[in-house]
Amino acid sequence: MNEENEFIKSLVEDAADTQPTVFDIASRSRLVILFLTVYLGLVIAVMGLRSDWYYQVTLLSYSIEMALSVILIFFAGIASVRFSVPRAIGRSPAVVLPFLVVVLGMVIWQLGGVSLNALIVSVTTPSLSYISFGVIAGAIPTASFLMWQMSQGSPTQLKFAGSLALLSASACGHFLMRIVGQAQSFADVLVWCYSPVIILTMVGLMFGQKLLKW
Amino acid sequence: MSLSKINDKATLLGEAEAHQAMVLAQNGDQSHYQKLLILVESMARGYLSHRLQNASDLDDLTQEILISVHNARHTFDLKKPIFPWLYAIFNYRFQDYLRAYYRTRRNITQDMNDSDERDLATDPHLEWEYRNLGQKLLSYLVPQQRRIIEMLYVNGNSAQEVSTALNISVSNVRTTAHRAIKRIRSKVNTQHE
Repeated sequence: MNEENEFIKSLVEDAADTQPTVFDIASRSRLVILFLTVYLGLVIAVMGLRSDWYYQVTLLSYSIEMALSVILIFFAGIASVRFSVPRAIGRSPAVVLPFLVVVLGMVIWQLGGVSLNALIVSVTTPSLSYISFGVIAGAIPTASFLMWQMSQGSPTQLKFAGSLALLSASACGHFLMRIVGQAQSFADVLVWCYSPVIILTMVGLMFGQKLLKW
Repeated sequence: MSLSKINDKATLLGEAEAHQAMVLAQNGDQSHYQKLLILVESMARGYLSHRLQNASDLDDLTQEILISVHNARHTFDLKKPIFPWLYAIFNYRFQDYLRAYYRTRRNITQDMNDSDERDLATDPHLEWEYRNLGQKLLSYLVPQQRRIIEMLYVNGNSAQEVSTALNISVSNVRTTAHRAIKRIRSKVNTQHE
């Protein structure tokens, strides 16, 4: 017991010497929104919108897909910061986000009218893999930024927080490839643009434990 | 306020008082921070005593929890209740402990026909192996940690003797030793992976 008291006293002494900056979730969330907005805006400004964007937005499937992507980008980004502090998952609204990813896939599949044949043709066309690389490249800055933000906190739900961060980042990549890239076929989008979102979210789930450990 | 004047046996606090203590602690009030840590220690022991059989693991994990609370104190939102925040840390550290426990023990198998009867006192090769292992483990540490671990565990000095020899407080010796062991454990675990 005495040893514990000594130990506690040493922590108190340490606290007197070092007063860390308070991790304010509200201001961090605002910073995330600012970063995401500036990043997406910059990439679109530099790369330009796809040539047929005016036609694409008139398609219901494309509009819903883009709206869902934006929701995933911002909500998952903010949720990842909210899970950078000790807390239980409980009834957090963030648990809905993985289901939204499934909804996104269903929208592309059903509203985009993707047939099995078209899927097989797309899967067997590896030259389209540049789309996936584009999604991953578009996700890297966001993933780095979110991981950096989270590493300054003390997350206790590491897998969940890691998957949310990579979900937001991969949704960024997906959004950018769809708004800047020229892919026409929804089968190609489903195979090469949407699947990296699932894969990167899984990567976050698997490596969150290692990346965010403190 | 001098720490020596602080009453070690601070009365245990309820949720509201603990919250207030954290608010004051974040403003640099040492006595309230100490009271809070004493409460955390008691809560952690209560939480872990149902889950752990081994007393030494319980002590280690309680210290881990205290360090975690200390390191994460800047993430506590003063508008939120404190107990869920604390229990989230308890859970996290306990699961981390379980993960390490099963990772290090799951591959341990003992062949009944393969008993190792070598004796450290009579087997120079075994003694050499142990010496090498000790040197390797010590090489993971920074010089100050290495010096303290050597004095405590190789030379058999007491914490008080180390404190006098190095001109640092006893609590500092214990904290450094604890961090050194944690560092070795984490390095060894990383290598096992």
